[in-house]
Amino acid sequence: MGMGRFSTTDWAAYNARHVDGRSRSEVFGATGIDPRFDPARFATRESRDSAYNPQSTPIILASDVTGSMGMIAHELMRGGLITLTSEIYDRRPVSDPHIMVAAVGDAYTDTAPLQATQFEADISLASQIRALWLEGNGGGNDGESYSAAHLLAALKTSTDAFERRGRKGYLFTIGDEPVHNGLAADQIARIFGIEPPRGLSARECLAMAQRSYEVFHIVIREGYAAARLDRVLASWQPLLPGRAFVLDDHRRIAELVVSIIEITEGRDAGDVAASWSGAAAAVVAKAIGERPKRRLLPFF
Amino acid sequence: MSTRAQAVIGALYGDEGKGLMVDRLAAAAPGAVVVRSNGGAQAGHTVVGPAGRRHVFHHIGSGSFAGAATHFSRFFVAHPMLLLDESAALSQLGVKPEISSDPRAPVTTPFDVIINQALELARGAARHGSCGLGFGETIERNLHPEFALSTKDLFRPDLHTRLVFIRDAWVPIRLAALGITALPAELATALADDTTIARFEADCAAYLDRVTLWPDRRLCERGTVIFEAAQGLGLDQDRGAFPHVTRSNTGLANMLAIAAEAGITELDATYATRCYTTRHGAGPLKGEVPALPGVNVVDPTNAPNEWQGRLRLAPLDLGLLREATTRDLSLDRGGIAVRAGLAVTCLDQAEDGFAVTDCGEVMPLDPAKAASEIADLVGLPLWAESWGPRRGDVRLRVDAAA
Repeated sequence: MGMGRFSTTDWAAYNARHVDGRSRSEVFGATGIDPRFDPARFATRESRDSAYNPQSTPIILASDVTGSMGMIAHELMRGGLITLTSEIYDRRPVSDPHIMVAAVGDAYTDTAPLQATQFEADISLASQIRALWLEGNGGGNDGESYSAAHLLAALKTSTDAFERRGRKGYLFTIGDEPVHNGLAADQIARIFGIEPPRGLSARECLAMAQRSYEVFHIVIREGYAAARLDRVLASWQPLLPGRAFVLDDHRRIAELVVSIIEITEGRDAGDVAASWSGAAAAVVAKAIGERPKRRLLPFF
Repeated sequence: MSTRAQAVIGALYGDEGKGLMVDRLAAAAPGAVVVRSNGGAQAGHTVVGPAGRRHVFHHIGSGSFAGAATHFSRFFVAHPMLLLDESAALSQLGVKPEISSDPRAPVTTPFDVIINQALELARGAARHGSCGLGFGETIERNLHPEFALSTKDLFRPDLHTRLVFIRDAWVPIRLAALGITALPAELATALADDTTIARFEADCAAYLDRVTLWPDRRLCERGTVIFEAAQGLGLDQDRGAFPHVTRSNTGLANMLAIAAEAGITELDATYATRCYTTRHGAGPLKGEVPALPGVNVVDPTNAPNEWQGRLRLAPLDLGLLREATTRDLSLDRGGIAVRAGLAVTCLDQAEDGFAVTDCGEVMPLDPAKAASEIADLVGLPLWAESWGPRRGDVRLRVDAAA
């Protein structure tokens, strides 16, 4: 039954060999958009109540994956968002979380400006996240098409939480750039596979999402935002007053998102920030500390 | 609604033909998922395909030639340092199984391997029969929450910090507890070298690209479940002769726990044994003999190795077999209906003059009738017998669960 292939002398070989050269053919980093994740090809993403999840709450996490995010996009998609989803499943800041992850790009320059996983109630989502394609493009045009994520929530999701119980889900966009002002008709047609009568402004896309989702944006203070945070905030704050947050350390995305959800659900902001250990508490406190000294209650 | 699953369990010390039986069952159940219910990469289950391609399955389920997917349960110990090599070897044979894992499955680090090897080397001739792959050490470390590492932790941004912490805090504690004051040069070098962690992190990233995280709870969505146990009942941590045991439950216990989570209500358990007894590594072996009369032992898998020595032999002891299976079947089943049967393998290797023992009494058997006589004497229905290394050599009995 046994195997004894790894002997003491194999250690030198282990340390000398490079996993990339050895086994990348075995490794499936995506090299194009997977049709499963293409919003032009699926009709709707459903979040349904079930015996396991009688009070499902849809949560959409839409991260910028363009080149300006650099390694951050890679880290977020390979680890950060999976940690975040695990944290949400474990900590359950809302009842029965159903999470969808979307990858957002630039509708002007990207082959795949939007990809979206299914809604999942457990960690099996992790592998879908890893299968999203990091195109790494995005144009130097001072913005990304975050509105595509808003429109995705509005046009391509169907949730029991809202339709049966009148409860809103959560939608977070995450990135380092200003938001382009909406989507042109041809961009909507290409991304979503529908023929719209006209284009939509960023505010219109957002308003459509806000009918059934609590919408937030997190600015990662790296890449574009490291040098031009003012321009980024000037773009986001008028759209999402009190709901655009700046995160200094992208590795704390899990703590920040869970904190925002918990505060929105009515927990005290100070208590929530203090519930994290060590460095995370300070980063989260800073990110949410610039809020007015009142609880962030659902607006609607 | 009832959900039925199959299980293959080694009745004695491993090497009973579990790989062969899993392959046979998987071939009969298209779209099956083979679930590793205990053990880790130290298992070695040989399958010879119909076309003669041969693979010793370590991580990956033995149903892969038959097209089955693989699932690592929460009891399986993952070994990212080794999975990709096995994956590549299988891929050369044209086999690319879907693999999923419960996020709770513990993960072996290079440091568990180093400690394991140092310990077995320090024991000299008194080795426990460990494979030197760090399996038991992984279980030991994971008993300490601050040093634990499970599959879902491989995603976490602080993986590097955790690994450094395991190396710098856990390794000295563990080595001191084991009374090891100095490591052999190769191990000391590997321990101190930062490259070891860097390579391991790269292996972990590649591991996650290959393995879908999937909770045991949703196992049945992946297909018809076939549990594949590793090692054998004689090596069970609670039943075997300490310290020559593996640190896991090798029989029904883990399967019943997984089945309960997954909503499986009926389990058909095939206990596999050769028509003689083998033991690889140290530990008691009743009736051990240098050579078995009447048996032409063929075993290319168990070539002698540095960590476990050669394959040891004894006549099949029906008393031991009866005791081991009865004890396993006496476990609390938590409402899951269990049917059990016996599979007797390697009958092609038995010749005239072949015999088994029952509580010391020697019983010569005719190889052609041996399987059903053994099953009768053990008190289990005969579900399968094998007359060679391939699935086509397995005869399933009509009353078998399949």
